[in-house]
Parts: sequence; C-alpha cells; structure tokens
Amino acid sequence: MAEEVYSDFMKEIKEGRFVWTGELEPAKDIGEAIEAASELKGLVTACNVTDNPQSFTAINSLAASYKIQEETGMECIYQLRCSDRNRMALCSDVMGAGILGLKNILTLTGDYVSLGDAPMAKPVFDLDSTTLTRMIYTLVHEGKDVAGTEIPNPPKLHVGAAAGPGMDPLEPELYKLKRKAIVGAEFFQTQVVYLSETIDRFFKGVKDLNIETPILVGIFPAKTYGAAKFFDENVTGVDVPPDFLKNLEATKQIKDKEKRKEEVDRVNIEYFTGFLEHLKGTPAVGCHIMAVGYPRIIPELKKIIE
Amino acid sequence: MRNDLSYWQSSRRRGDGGETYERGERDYSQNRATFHIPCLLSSSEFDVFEREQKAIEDCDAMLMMSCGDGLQAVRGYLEDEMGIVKPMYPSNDALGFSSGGPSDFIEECQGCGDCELGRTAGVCPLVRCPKGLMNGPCGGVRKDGKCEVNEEQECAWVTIYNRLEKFGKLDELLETREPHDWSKQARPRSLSGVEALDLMEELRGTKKALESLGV
Repeated sequence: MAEEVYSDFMKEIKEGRFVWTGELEPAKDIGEAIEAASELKGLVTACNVTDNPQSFTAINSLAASYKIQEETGMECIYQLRCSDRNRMALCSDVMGAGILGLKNILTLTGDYVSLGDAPMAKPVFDLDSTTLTRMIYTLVHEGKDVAGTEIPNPPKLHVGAAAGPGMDPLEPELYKLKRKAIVGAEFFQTQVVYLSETIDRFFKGVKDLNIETPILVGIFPAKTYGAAKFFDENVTGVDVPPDFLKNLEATKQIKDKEKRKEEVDRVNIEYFTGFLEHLKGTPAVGCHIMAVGYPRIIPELKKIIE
Repeated sequence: MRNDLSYWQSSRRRGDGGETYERGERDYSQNRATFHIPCLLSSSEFDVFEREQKAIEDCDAMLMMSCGDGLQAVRGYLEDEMGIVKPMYPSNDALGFSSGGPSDFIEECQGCGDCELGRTAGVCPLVRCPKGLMNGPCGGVRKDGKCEVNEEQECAWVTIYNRLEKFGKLDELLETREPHDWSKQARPRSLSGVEALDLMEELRGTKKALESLGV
C-alpha cells in the first residue's frame, strides 16, 4: 500500500486522528457550493464534491472541485462515477485532476440514468468502481494510463471507494469491498448509517474478511424533517429510525423559526450522541457528514467524539 | 420518425389473386400492443414479393411488421433483386434475443462476442445487471437483493454470489474481473464463409426422427 501522503485528508488518517469530511453538491451553479465550502472551512478536513448525484445533470465535478479548492482552500475529494464516461474519459479526467492539483478521488459506480433527469441517456458503465479504483491506483503508483502507456508525471492523489453497510444481503458487498481494497482503495467512505446494529454487523464482516482499509462512516444529521424522510424513502440501504423521524416531524409544529432551529439541533444532537459514542468503540477512522447546508451542527457533533 | 407516422395506409390483398386492393387509414399512434411471435419469413419465401410486385410498386410506403432485421432484409431484397426503392417504416420495437416463454420472456444473452459466463457463475451480468457491472453489486441493491432499476428482478450479483456459495467458489469473488472487451462489438458485426444449411430439410429430418420415436 502507498506510503506517500499527498493530501491533508490522508495525512490526518495516517496520524490516527478522527477525520471529518463534508459534502458539497454543485448542482447548476457553483456559487452556493463555494459558499458552503467557506462555511465548512475549519469544521472538516476535506469535502466530497458530487458527480451528477442521483443521475441529475450537474456541473462537472472535476471543474467544481478545482474551483472550490482554488477559491476557498477547502481540500476536495473529487467524486467520479462510472455511469457517464468510458475508460478513456475516466483516465483523461484523472490525469486532468492531477494537473489541477486535486489530491483525493472517490470512485463510484453511479446511479442508473433512468433515476435522473435525462432518463433516455445512454448509460456507460464501461468500468465499475473496482476497475476504476485499480486504474487510478495504477496511474498514480505505476505511472501507467488505461492503455498501459507510461506517463512522465503521474498524478499524485489518493483513491478511495464507497461502502454500503446497510446493504441487504451484506455479503456480496463485503466481498466487493475486499476486492476494492486489494486493487488499491486507500480509504472507504460509507453510505449513510443511522443504526448502531448496522455498524456492528458491517465492521464484523469487514474484520472477517481482513479488510484493513481506513473507513469513514457516513452520517446524515437532518436539517429538516423532509430531508430525513427523503433519505428514508429514496435511498437504498438506509433506514432512518422511526423515533428520530417522529421527533423531527414534531418540530414542524413550532412556529418561531429560531426555536424550531434549536429544537431540530437538539433532536439531532440527542440522536447522534448515542450513535457517535457507539462509533468510538468501532474501527471507524472518521465520519463523512453528508448533511448539505447544515454546518452549524458540526461543532456539536465533534464535541461528542472529542 | 415513427411518432410522426400517425396515419398509415394499409394495402391488403382481397380474394384469390385478383388485383383489388383496399386502402384505409388507421390511427396507428393510439394502438400499441406487444406481440411475441416467431419469425415467419424465411428467405426461401421471398418470392412473395415477386407475386405482390404490383402492389409494392403502387404503394407509397411499406410498414414492416417485423423486427429490424426483417425490415432490412426485405429492404435489401427489394432494392437488390427487384430494383424497387420504397420508404419503409417499422411497426415494432424489437427487443432482441430473449429466452423463457410461453408468456414471459427475459433477455439473457446479448451476443457480445466475448462470453463472460465462465467468470460469472453462469449468469451474464452484462445483461442481467442494467449497469452491466463486471464487479458488482452496486450500492443500489434493494432490500432482499432486488435490483435498483427493476425491483421485480434479483440483483445479478446477488444471484452470482448465491450460486458461487452453493458450489463453494466464493473465493472467485476476490478476483477482479477485467473490464469487458467491447472491441468484439464493433458494428456491424458479421460472419462470412458460413456453409449454408437447408433449414427446411433439417426440419423435415427432425420431424421424421421425432415421429420414429413416437413423439
């Protein structure tokens, strides 16, 4: 496994610190994402920049990652999915990421095109997340592109992949993680998890397959009841606990906006105190906070771990 | 183009070889149905076009109730053998290979030219998985192993996992399968130098063999 460290994100992992990452979704306008990145500065070590999330056409994540990193200094974890590009385009983009100074990439299979806003698009999926991870690892560490041709200045970045702790059945997913670890994934960020049982079942499987790659667990503190409900109904492998949903729903009755915000924060802190206390006892090396537009909750969450 | 063809003219032969044709208009766009029928037109029966030559020459366009292969075979025959060039429109959206039946059909093979089945427990992920993942499953598997795109369908990689487990070869899942070789699917794919079989003769032989067995 790679010894060289190119990014602050990987440096913190190697130092054994509990690492926090955030998420930015540049949709049709980069302005909001830049603003959000500025708000997250100092709260998280790095931010994922999504690539056509849920197969909705968005600003190119490579361009967005570069722009965000340049303008705010926030280190980016550039997300790259297999849905929209063939192996040549993926390789070109990763080489491009190298010259633009991006330091981390997260590989994803990507949602199927029919789920998004251009359902008649031709789906690509020439590589999958395993072979994309391997291609990036080979680029960085062997200096060879997708055609096996040597390149003079290989990109210097870290490649990671996604994991789904809540998947049912879990075993095929665990074997897939193992495969991604074997081909060079240097970190994993998981899909959102709410239940301690899900985390325990997942880490037991990870241990059984001797997967030693650092894992950041995805969490989603919900800024509104609607956001939590959307996750519960639309994201596969994620069950939002009914009590948490009920408590969030109850906040809708509070007329005063400030008081409502306080109560939403209280409900989140109450829930995540238990969850994060539990997480401390697992091999997780950090948390990936997927709550877009909810930075004010992060200092409170960090207190629980520290 | 097909969506623009709201009306079509039908040319229907009436009687026993007379030259009377009925022309009618029908709203095609309102009538859509799915049929599963075997191919009825073998190339040995192309003489039907010579018999119907006048009708073909008289019509403005032809609507082919066939797969795309059928339309193009007829187009080629009319142009090359009979010198007739007519606009042709398909009435069907052909789905390609399918297996199963008699009422439910599913695509199992896309004839990609580079068979992966030996590496995937006899289940083709290029066809069964909408994403065609060679190292699945993806993160979208639903509860109980159903597919993100089609919840009626089991995830191809869950099926593959279960099969490998049954014959004690889960270790195969630790190997990374190479990306599929799409160079074999550079189009149009073709075969040449194939020795022709007399299919009708072969069929008659099969029939005789079955009869001799008392089937």
